[in-house]
Amino acid sequence: MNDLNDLMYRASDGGPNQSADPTRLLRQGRRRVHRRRGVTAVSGVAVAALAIVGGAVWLPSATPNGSNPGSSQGPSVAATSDGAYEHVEVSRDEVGRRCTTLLHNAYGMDGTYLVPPRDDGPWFEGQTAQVGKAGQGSDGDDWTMTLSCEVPQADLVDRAGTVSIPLPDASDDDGIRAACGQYLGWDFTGWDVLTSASTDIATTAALRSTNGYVATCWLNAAPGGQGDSSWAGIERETLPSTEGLANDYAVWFSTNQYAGDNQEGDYNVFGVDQVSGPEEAAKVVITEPDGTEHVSEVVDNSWFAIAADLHLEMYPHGVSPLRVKVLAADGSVLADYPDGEQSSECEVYPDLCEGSKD
Amino acid sequence: MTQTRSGRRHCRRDDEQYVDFVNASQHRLRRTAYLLTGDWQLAADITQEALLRVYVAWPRLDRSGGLPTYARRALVSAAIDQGRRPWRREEPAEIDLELPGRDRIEEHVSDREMLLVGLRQLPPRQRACVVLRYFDQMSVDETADAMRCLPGTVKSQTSRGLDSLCTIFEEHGRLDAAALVGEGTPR
Repeated sequence: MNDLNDLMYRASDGGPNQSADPTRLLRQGRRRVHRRRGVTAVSGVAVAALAIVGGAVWLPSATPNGSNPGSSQGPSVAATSDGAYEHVEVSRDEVGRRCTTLLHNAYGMDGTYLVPPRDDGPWFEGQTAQVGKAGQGSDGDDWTMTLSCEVPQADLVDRAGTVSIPLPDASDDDGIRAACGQYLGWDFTGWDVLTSASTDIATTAALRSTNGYVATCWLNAAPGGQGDSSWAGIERETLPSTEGLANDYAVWFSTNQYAGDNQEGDYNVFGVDQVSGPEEAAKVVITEPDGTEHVSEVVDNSWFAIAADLHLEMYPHGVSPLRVKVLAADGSVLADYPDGEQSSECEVYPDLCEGSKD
Repeated sequence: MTQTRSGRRHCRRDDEQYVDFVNASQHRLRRTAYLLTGDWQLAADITQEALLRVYVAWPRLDRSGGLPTYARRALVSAAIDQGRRPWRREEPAEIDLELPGRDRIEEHVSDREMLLVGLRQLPPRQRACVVLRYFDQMSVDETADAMRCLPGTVKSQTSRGLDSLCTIFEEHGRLDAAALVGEGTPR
């Protein structure tokens, strides 16, 4: 009988011949590094090397009014001045054109990106498409290097993928609408800023349209760090499911600006997402090893935004000792667990959580 | 040029070393990614992303032994990031059972499907622990480093993952399920 290692070895044997070209990776990597180190300073702070990463996307909870998506090859009317979102279908070629511009702007990519032949669509403005380049595969159709792209509006595509420094403060709703709109290539006029957070080098926000769509937006101007910790995701305007969570609370955020060995160093923590669990949450609290707390209000029992500068000291196990707490409106603790775990970890293995406080 | 807190200046990026590393590691990384995702195309994308993250971090990585661990950390991170993206949550990729022609043997497919279905049903971090420990043969400490968690967490997550896999294998009629997940214990 084969053991698990052998089973895994055989199960992962073969597959399509999709080796990445190291020289292409090298070119992409150089652009990513240069992009991170090539911009400007923030708010008078002497930061020598900055770059921009981030994004903003949204997804409807349902097709508005049950109507069929429209079709457009030309200028978009997806965002209206009243802040409503409407589906606007985009052709395959147009997705390639707009995403090429966005990828040039955001990551310094060159060349022309296209939708791989395997994708049948449909594609809509503001939603994610995968694009790539025909490569050098044995059949001349190697599409292994695909990238995600949120399709911008046609008339705003030229500046999509760019961010202006300084980033808007969390209290600046107009600035957030403008900055998120610039990056995404979208007109957020009339959208409500549900929640937001910011530091000197990061701004995050969730925006809601007048007809119930939500855009999440993470903008980051960070010195060269640990890859793309930034993440932009499509969020539904519904409470996240608690199915399968039992007594757990799922809280997502990212760390960036990794600046040391063995996880010791300065971090910029940022994100906007939804907290889910069996009881209604009012606050998410991130606690540093020295006890410093960063509190995020939970909006609509769901959305929270966080942006904070942290410093993590060396830890015996070489791991991040951040802790995450979820609080109810009355201040009671619904969950308290180390970063990277869900709360049941502490319930099942209380000594593990005690140890992480050391 | 930036400076770490320990005061060591980043050394000059060695592109030739990086290319060698990509050539040497990408096939294995892609297999790990496939076990994490069950999708060859997604595995290729994640491997590419992980290797790009390795490039960005290259100047501060320990070439004497830390590269494989960091690459797997980047791989797991990229896989979890992908899994968090709602279009993956809502429309998870179908398990890709593509095989080389010579390997189209019914039992092989059955075992592969059983394993991939089982892995698919594990929470992402449990799945990563099982794959890193049992496929990549990483130690508890190495896995903890790659996943940025406590060694005790690796042990508990792996244990839970194996329990779940055992149950799933039994549901597939494997009377030797316990032995299957019990043998091949990594170092």
